[in-house]
Amino acid sequence: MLARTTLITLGVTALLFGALLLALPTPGAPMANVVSGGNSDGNSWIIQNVRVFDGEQLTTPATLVIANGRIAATQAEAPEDAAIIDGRGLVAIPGLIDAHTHSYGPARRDALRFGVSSMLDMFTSPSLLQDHDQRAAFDPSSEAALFSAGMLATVERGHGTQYGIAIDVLRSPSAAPDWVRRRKLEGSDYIKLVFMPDNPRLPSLDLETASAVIAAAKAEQMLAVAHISTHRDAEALVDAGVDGLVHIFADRKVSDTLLRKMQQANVFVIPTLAVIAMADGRKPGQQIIADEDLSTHLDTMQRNNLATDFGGRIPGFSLDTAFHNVAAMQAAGIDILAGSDAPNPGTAHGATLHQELALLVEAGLSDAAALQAATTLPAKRFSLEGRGLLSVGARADVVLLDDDPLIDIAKTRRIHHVFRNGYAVARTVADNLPDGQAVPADLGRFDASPIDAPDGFAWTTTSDEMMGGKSTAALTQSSAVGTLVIDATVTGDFPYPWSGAYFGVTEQARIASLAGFATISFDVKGTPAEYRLMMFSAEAYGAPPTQTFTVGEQWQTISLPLNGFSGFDAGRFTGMAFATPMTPGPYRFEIDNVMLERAPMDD
Amino acid sequence: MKRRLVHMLLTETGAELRKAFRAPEFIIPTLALPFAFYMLFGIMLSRSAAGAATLLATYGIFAVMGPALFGFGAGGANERELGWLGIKRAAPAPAMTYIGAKLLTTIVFASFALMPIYAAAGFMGDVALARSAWLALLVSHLLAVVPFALLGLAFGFRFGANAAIALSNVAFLSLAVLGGLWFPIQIFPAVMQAIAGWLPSFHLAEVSLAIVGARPDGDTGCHLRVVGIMSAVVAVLAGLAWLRQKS
Repeated sequence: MLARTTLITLGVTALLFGALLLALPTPGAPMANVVSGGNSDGNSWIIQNVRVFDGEQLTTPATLVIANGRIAATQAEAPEDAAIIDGRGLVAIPGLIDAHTHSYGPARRDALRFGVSSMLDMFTSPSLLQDHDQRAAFDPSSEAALFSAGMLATVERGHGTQYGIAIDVLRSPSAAPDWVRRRKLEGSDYIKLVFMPDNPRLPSLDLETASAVIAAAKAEQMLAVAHISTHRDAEALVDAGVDGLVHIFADRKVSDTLLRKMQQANVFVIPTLAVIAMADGRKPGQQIIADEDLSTHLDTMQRNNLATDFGGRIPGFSLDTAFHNVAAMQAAGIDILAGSDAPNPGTAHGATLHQELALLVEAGLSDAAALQAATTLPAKRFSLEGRGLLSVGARADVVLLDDDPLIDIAKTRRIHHVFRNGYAVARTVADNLPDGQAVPADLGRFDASPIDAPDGFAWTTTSDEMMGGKSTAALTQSSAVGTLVIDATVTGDFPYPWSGAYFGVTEQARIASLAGFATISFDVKGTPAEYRLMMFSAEAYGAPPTQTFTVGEQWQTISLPLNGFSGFDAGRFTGMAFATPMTPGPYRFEIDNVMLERAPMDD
Repeated sequence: MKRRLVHMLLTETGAELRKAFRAPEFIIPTLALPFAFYMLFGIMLSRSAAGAATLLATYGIFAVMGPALFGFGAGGANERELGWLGIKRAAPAPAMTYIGAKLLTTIVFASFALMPIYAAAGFMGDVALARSAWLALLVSHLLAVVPFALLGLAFGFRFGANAAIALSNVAFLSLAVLGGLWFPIQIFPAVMQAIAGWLPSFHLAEVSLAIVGARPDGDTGCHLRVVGIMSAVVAVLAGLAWLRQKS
């Protein structure tokens, strides 16, 4: 009797609990989240049971309505054919805002693939500035919206002039008001200036001119933000009334005085920790390549750029100090904004912003504060109306996530869907670029005249003249021994000067492949110094992957491993440059027997 | 022999269950209190599913603690004082069936305490876990019966009914609060946080928290080992208490 009571009770308990366990909700099952009915090519959606980041935290599951590209209050506002998404287990966050980018080439498209729907550019060619009407429209778009400083405020031969863009340089403080007005006419949204008076190599504005630019920006009701790299420079500009710093300084810990000043002046900071990590010799780009949530959406050019670096540590950049300063500023109530500073070496548009959020959390921000740093805060500080918060009437730039970023900020990478102006964005990466045509092993023996090269290639001169510098080079052939003689003169008119011999494809569309080769070797002698070999591939931007070699007055054979050129895509080779050091002066050097070699293990 | 033992265990459990069914005024508050707490803090005051999931992990431990501590502690002392334990010892059933029956009964009541909490979490708090995670969470919660039941046993054997009830109450509240079952221990001063490391409730909660995904860097194996060691220590204490009440 009693034993039966036990068995029945145990059985009933087990059954009840079993049934309960089967009925309890499970997350993100593939069957959930399907779009049911409606027009999935349109800009109206009903996302049911989705938790929404309200700027502070996640709401309980509710229906998020997108009606004609805007967030709507009720389902009644959506057209009949609005597509319906089962949002159980999903989290909706505002389209991310990257507060520090440079938007060359496909940057805006790359960014959007990673859920970055607005970019705050901190210097680009004014020709790339987005039309303001187009930016305000609600059209379908595969690109992030661009807000930009346009041209930056710098001096002749200063930081910013090394990229081959014609720069309207500032020559005196009195030129500042007109200079700022010209930017406003060009379409700049705010003013960016460069202030690093201690940098020995790159000149920049003096304090008087910088202060004049800040004052002129204020007169035009534009924000003035500044590139600085030291505590001292930051303090000088905060005193001058700057609105924001677009990097954190990492040379020393922030003083209480400066913290107080920043607090009082309500200065914001865009730390760009990923780039500081890079300057500190870490390899943030490699972490992105290794992260499957991010790497599946990278294209070849982004991968190449992520693999590059600054070529070593740069003094004055300690990531730990940067972390300390971010934490101290956050604690003092100073607004911290997330910016990637892509496409610097080791970064990629879109992907690096997700890494920056994780770095901000590592520095001490809460997950919610990191998310605010890429949504509500940049929208507030840069007055981006209808962005950064999914409030009723806001632009429907929305990222649907598979997971909760307030438990783990890395979950911002688990992107389920990106909406831009209410339209679903295709996140597929188009390219899987084929290798170019194979290159013969012999690249230059210089025994025949004119200077011989394999079919489709040529040896030519190269110098910073193409970027507006004044260095020169001339090639001759020494007929006696059959070598290539380079006479180069390096001047200091370009911040990153070079001069030398270039081996490359003759037609621009041609792409070659060095795949299968392990090293490049050549004989060299000349003016004693440390020379450079730079590699170029079809999908690369920024500084080319470079290795150095030491030249003496006697012939010697140099052998460089191809995998020593970090970020070089050997399958998409377009050329290489044998270049002088950056130090100005005359150089004469000779090269011979330029050869590609296979690894000893190969065939 | 084995079958007889099982039969004895089942019979003994049946008696325990009947006894409990006949005294609903004891069992219902024990079951309802954790549920009411979870509804208030886990569902109504926590505004995210993440919060609901975190509190599900810790309130589940809390829900199991009640039946385990009071059933064994207060119940055991009471039965001993009434002389029921003396009769049990004279009866031809091994002592283990007495303890085994109490353990099974506790697991049944713990399950009934957990069910409404799980349902509230899943259907009202939007906590969504993989099936395997729900199951693992249940196992981790039922595992918590062991150390608390042993602790109750030690109280029940060693102290009189009144003292055992008072002690169980003190243990119940301090294990819950200091173990971080009600609020995250991070909000406490460092001294109180240091105490948590010495409490089985804290380590059991860490295991459950890892299962719901709130401890991505948690070392579950380590917490399980600590729970094992603590259970062994309490088991020795319970054994000593048993020997003392015998003599």
